[in-house]
Amino acid sequence: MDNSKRRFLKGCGGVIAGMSVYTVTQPPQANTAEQVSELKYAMVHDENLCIGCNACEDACRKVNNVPDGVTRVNIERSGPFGEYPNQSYRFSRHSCQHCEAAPCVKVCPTGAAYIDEETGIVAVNEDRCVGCQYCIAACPYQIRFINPETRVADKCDFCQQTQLSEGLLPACVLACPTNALVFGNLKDPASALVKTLKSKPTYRDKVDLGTRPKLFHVRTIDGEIVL
Amino acid sequence: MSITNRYGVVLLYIVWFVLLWVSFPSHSFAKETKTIADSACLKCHKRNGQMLGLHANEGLALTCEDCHGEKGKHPRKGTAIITFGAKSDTPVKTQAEQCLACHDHQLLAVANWTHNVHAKGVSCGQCHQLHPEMDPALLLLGSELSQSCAKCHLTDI
Amino acid sequence: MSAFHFDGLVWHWPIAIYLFLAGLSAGAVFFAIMLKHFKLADKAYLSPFVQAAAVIAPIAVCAGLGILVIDLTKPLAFWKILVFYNTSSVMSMGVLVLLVYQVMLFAWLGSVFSTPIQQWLKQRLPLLSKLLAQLARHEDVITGVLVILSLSLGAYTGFLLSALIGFPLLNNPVLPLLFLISGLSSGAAATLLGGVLMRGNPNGVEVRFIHRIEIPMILVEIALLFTFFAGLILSGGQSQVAAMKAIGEGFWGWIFWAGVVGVGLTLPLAFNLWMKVSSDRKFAYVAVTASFSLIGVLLLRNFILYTGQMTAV
Repeated sequence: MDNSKRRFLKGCGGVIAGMSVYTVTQPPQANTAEQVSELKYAMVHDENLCIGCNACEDACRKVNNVPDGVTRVNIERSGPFGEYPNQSYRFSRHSCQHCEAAPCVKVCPTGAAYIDEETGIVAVNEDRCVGCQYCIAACPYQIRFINPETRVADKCDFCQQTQLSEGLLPACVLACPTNALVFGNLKDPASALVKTLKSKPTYRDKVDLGTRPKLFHVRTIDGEIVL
Repeated sequence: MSITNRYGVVLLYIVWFVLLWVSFPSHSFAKETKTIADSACLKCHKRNGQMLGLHANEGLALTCEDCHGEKGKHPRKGTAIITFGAKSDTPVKTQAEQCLACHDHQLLAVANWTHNVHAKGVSCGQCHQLHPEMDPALLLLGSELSQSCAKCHLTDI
Repeated sequence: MSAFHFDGLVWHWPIAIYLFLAGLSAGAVFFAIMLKHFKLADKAYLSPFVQAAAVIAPIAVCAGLGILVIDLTKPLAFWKILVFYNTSSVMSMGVLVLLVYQVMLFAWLGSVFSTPIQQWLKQRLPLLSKLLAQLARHEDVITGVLVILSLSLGAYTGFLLSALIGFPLLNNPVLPLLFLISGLSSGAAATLLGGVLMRGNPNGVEVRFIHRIEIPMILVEIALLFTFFAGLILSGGQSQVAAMKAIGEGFWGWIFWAGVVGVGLTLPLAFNLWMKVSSDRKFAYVAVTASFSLIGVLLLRNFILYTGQMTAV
């Protein structure tokens, strides 16, 4: 009996030693970002300028081939506030927040959800995705969905595959008639994005979850105060 | 929710039109009401007075004056004929009141939420036209509808 | 909003069944090991209860994984989960645990049942019997590792859900413990039920041993459930909303109070205490108690999965 216990402990010790060797031999996190990228994309949605026309969603659907029934971006409308005929609505953009600490990336078992080191965009590697839907459940913003055509987790990627690769702004930004969407490089102080962020008070959704999202909102000042 | 809403609204429209179509005598659709066709107004307004839309339906029995107001001394100056649309001299409020006499604003809001936010500054005629066979605003769906917003709401950088 | 279809629902009942089967497998293995170690020793392979666990554990874990694979949107791509790993992903680590668990489970089965298998082989397939002899020689190490793996697997079913930070009811530190304990008790129940169905003695040493562990385990489970919901309610905010929505009203409230608390915990506890006092266990008693426990755990998995996704932060 004593002998067997000793051997069992030996086995356990072996497992622990193996695990610690594995963690030690892992490359330290700092090494992976050898040269820090000069790019970090983000977006501002000015809820005061937004008119809820849905042109952004239509443009996104067209450019990124998003099938009917699902969408990468959605303008959530709440209201009406006030009495007729002095009524107003509020609009909030509902799309990928491109979190710095993205829960979807953390939970993805195959690494199909990843953060593009070059741009900071949270992207999907379609080949790796098996469709376990863990990312969909993990996203606190509930913006991920299974694309019914590719059967792969899908979401906004700031048009990385379509517009950005051709040097164009994201489709939604170009389509917005009121310039309620500002897209740009967070690390460039001269960019319209940084200027907007420094001139208007903005908020981000669910920051207390520690996700550090990169979709900023300018809050509606119109209408009544809602608790 | 937007999908079900959109389809729901389209479905509502279809049901509404089918009901209208069924509830009126069969020959009436897209045919002028006698009261309008025989109206003295059409002697001058041969083209722009023609009424082909839903509002020309026999069952409604509308006359030109029901919407455009009393003829009075028209076409001489100083009359209070009500005209519609963006170029109209009639105040927006007066224009809207003509439509709201029959149309309930709450039902309009159910059909499309944008009615609410345009209730004060925009007249109905700026989007809707009743004289053509089909109101062009009702033909706008999906991206065409959102593009139509940009006609007014366009900010240049 | 219906009980099984609502906005924000991502994972449906197949996941609950998978969580149930994985926990059940882990529990059955755990109790089979305990039976062998503390009571049966070398005669373990003769016990219908250990035999039942030996049948149930691999079937349950394989069936669970099968359901999981079918539930993927790309079932044919499931092999990618086995090839690509992400150390920060609970699911990825769970897959690793499941893989090693299955290997060790079969190794353990080989070592425990090496005597009957060797007799049946009768010198045929010398390579296999050599392997079995090796396994039997290292049974202690295999057993120790398998105990750790089965406990990890039981807890993993909870961690899988508690990693979802957007749902306060799921993102709860008590959940993995709750699932571990209820998984173990479902394994015990399955072992008992299988054992008596395979003509095991319902008044035998195995049943007495498992029942002795089961009473404190049910009490711990009740305490954990209480802590789980008390903690949520005391946290306030959306946690409180989530807890009240889950146990306070509607279909799932009934499932919780009547199914999980009533059928799954109170009745088995009462029956167990009664059997302890009367000290005479009959087939029907054991089978009914075990069935109630199993139903309770299956309902608990569904209850947590669905109500957890009902309320987001």
